[in-house]
Order: sequence, then structure tokens, then C-alpha cells
Amino acid sequence: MNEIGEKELIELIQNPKTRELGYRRLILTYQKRVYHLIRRMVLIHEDADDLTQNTFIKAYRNLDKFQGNSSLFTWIYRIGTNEALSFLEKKKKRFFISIDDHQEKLASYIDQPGSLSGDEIQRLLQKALLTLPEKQRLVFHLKYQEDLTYEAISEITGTSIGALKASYHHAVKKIELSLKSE
Amino acid sequence: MQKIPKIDEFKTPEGYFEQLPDQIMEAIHPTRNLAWVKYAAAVVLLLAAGIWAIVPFEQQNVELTLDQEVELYIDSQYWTAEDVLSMAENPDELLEQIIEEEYPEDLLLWEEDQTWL
Repeated sequence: MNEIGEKELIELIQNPKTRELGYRRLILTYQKRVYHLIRRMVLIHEDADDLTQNTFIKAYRNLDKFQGNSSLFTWIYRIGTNEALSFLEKKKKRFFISIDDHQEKLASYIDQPGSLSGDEIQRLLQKALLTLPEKQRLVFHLKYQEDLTYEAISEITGTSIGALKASYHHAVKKIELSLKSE
Repeated sequence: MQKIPKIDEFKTPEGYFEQLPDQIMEAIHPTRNLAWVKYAAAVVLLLAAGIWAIVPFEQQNVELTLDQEVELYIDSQYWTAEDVLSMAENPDELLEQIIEEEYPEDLLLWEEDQTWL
């Protein structure tokens, strides 16, 4: 969505008469990107589905708090990434499982036939990504996969650009090393 | 960096993204609100009141014969067998009659030394 499109969307949402229509258009515009970002983090469709829905529901309920300082897309992404990270954190605490066990569980999901549309290299890449700490994995996805600028990622994650660069650098090195060793 | 491939998109159930906006909007504004239940309850109450007012309530007097009344008292365990016998004019005859009906003679015949193992 270009800048004018987002501006129009905001106007539609801010007008009480067109709010529903505007919000439906917002969902249609961002649902795939939000879902796929969350899915890459949590891997399992049912979890990603719940979290995507929660993201848009929370965004709707907090529309009044959106002040337009950042783009609507950045704001929605911020809510979505928070949902995904909180979910992973809660899941580990709830089941008293260690990070290693959790990663093993997700890795076994990747091995299930039909979970990924890609080939063997995709499977290896996904497993390599699982070795990264969750926030580092998120930074990698946002930078490498989504091709977002460090400024945009900084707005989404609330982290300094310097820290993001360092995080991304470490993530790339670990993945390259992991793929080489396979 | 070129060695790392882009990650393919995960598969989603067919038609997932077509349904998702509706699911989200439904969660935001549930159409299945319970307001209709209140209206339905009010309608049922009004109908019941109307029927009560229009149709006169007739109390049916069920007359029972004396035997039926006694049986009803016994069946409902308001009277015990002893009560009935104490009220009867000929309790001994009645008792014999009951024993005869409930315990026919052939059932009461057993050998004196029979043991019940």
C-alpha cells in the first residue's frame, strides 16, 4: 500500500460512518503480511491464526491510541510482533519447557510432511532459524525476509538501530554457519 | 549472504485469507448477541399471561372410589399394611387372603430339614 492509500485508509477509519468499511480494508491490505510474519515466528498455523486475529482485534480496540506518528503498517506490525513474542514466552513458561525443548518441538514440526512448501534447503533454513534467540529471529525476518529498513524495524521493535544491526549480523553469521555444517 | 535463500511462504488452508476478515470483524462485533433472548423471553411471558387470561382455569374434580382411594394411600406409602389391617373389621381374614395371594401354598412347602446353602 502506498502513502496515499494508507492516508485514505486512516481517513476511512477515523470517520465513524466508514470505520467498519475502513477497518475491513485495512485487514484485507495487511492480513497476509501480518499472518506470515507471525507464522514464521510460531510456525504452527493454528497459533498463527489466533495471533493474527488477536493482532487485528487489539488494533481495532486501540485505534483511538493511534496518533499517526508512525505508519499504520508499522503500528500493526508492532502489535503483531508483540503478540508473537509474548505467545512464545508464555508457551515456554506454561509448559515449563526449556528453550532447547521448545526448539526441538518446533523442529519436529518442520519435519512433518506438508508443513513447508519448499525443498530440503528450506527445511534446513527453518531449522537453522530455530537455533536463534526469538528476538534475533524476528530481526532476521523483518530485515532479510521483509526487506524493511532498520528505521522501520526500530519503530516496530522499539530497539535502537545499532542494536538491530548487531543482532542481524549475528543472526546471519549463525545461519550461514549452520547451513555450512549440514 | 547470497548463500541464504529466501524463506518460502508457509502453506495455509484453502480460502483462509478470504474468510479471515469476516472472522475478525465477527470477533470485534459479534452478531450473536443475546439481546434476542431477552425479547423472546418477554414474548413467551406475554403469551403465557394472555392464555391464562383468556382460557378459564377449570379445576377437575377427580372422584375416586373407596377402593381406589385406599390403594392410592397404600401405593403412596401413606398407609402401611399394618395400618390397613388395624382399620379393617376383619383383619385375620384379610391377612389370610393376602398370604394366600402372595405366597401360594406350594411355595410354602419345603422339607423341614432343608438347608439353604
